[in-house]
Amino acid sequence: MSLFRKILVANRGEIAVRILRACQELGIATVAVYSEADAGALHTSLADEAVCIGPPPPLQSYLRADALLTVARERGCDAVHPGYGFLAESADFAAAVTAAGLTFIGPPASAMRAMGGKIASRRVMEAAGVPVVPGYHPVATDPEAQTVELIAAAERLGYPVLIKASAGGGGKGMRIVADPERLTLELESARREAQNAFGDPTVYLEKLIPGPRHIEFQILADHNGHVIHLGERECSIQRRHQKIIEETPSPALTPELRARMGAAAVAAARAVGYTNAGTVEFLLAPDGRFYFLEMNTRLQVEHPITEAVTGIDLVKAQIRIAAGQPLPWRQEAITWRGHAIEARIYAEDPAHQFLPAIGRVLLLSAPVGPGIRVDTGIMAGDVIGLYYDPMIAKLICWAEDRDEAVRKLDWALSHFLIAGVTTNIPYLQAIVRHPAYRQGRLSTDFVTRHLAAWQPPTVEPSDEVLVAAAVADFQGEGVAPAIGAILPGAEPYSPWSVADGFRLGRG
Amino acid sequence: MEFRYAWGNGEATVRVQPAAEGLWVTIERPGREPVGYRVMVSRREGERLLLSIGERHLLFHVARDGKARLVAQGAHVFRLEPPTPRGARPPAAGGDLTAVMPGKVLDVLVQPGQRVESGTPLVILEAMKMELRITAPGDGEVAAVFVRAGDVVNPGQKLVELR
Repeated sequence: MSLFRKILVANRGEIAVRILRACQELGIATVAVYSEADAGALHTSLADEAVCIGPPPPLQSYLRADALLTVARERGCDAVHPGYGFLAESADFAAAVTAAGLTFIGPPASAMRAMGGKIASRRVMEAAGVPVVPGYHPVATDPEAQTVELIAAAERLGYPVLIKASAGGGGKGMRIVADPERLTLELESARREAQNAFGDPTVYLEKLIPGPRHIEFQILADHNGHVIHLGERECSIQRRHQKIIEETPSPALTPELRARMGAAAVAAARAVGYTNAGTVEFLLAPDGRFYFLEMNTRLQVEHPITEAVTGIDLVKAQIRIAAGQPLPWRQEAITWRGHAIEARIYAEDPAHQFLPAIGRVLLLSAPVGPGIRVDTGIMAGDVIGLYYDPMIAKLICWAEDRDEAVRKLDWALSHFLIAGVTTNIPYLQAIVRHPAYRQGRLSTDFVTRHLAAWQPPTVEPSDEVLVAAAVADFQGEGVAPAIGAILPGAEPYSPWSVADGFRLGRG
Repeated sequence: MEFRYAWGNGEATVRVQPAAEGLWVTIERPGREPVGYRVMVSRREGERLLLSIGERHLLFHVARDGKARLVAQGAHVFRLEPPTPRGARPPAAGGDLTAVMPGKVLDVLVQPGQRVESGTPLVILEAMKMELRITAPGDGEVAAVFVRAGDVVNPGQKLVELR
């Protein structure tokens, strides 16, 4: 069965790069799209064609379904890959792609609708016999009446409770409330954040499960009703509900528990008629009980760790499933080898409340070696702006066992050079070096429990660093025209700029 | 040639002189005798600088960011600035609360003259679609409010003054 002729990659950054490369390996032509802020970005240079779709704000570019469909039609595409984020979980976009006669590389719009609202998806899972966290969804539509309902519900569930946005994701609109007196205030704030982020202020309550692990299962489902799971990813290391370090296998799962949770994940996918790649998220309580959290109807950021231990290329699997091919693997044939960990490197400042850092990446040098994978859409000279997610790269390390994988990640972080913007690399190092992390004692409150007071260490420059600084200044920047062209601070007037026959150190 | 660098709470003066073989580099730090190193530039390709300093062979990445000299060793980036004249350093922020990043003011929760305690929310900013609550760092009174809901603020812009 033939795959596609030409795929539109409706995304940017590292995930666009990841998808474009998979298409190239499969011999499929590609079209990239970009906003004015991304002119010259890595993903535009990898595609066969690249089309500008508007100004930097996502609402005027990457979120414009009409513009994307026009490009797909004009350039003769027969399929659209949405990546993650932006329109990846928009059922309307998936339906529009299909209505235009193209293939949406993802689940059907109906499955996305069933799983899209967190409240609706909880009901579907309860009906399918998948355990869900005890919670309460307001019946009233008026915010003040909802608040009255939710205050009563919180009393019944027992504090602490968790406020969640129905349309939510990424921790936006989410609040933990331990003090009944703060509930009204936090409900208002969560509604406002949910409205701004998702255009839908609906929030609901869940009982807070203390000290849980976040365990999610990767599933694949073809159009013949064949559904398998590729095992779990533990994503318990989070900061403000944003995943920062993920690993597989989870140190907490026994083969027996893995089989039970995997079966629940497959049941969840079947309940909504799911096809393509998806992820079923669970909370695993310290007592061993697990609860359905939500289903992500798309490729996940952390998909590479599953690829590392199963050997299955998930993006290619998505494309093959979308083209109508049956899954070539039975559940019994899925085996896992070794241990993989991903760390997300963000342009953010751990010394100042982790605020996004903006600026030009002046130096970028990623570690390489056996078992090290770096997924990035950034090149030296690129500007990290405020319009998009501040993730610079994903660093994925694989080794035969967890201890070796942790050490490899620590080494690789120590050799991941990014200058020009502040990054969370020192924070990631502090996590992987923490005894509790080494011992696999993970929970979603890991960073607040163990690293609340953490501050980046101040390192004094050694004499060697000062020598290097002075030698660089002594030589000027002119030795390398390439860097001089990028860096605003180059010194074209320095006599050393033209000293191309520089012979210091050779007598 | 002489170069002066400052960082955090430290500073140093570094002299570079061509020597019979390579360079002679002297480092002076306050309160320490100058230390000299024999340095050979093994290689310089763009941002990469391979030096032998004494017996050690070391790889650095170097760049400029405005007036600052960046030197990276492994993943660690050192930012060395030209020293500012003594006394010219800006004083600590004092009673002003400033925006640390570009964003939009969603709400201002206090008025001039209002007493606040440590942790009282003063202003709610939105940036990257996340809400950021600016809280009082200590007990005091609001002396002035410089922003209104809906304002777009830039890093360093004053939001609220406490006394």
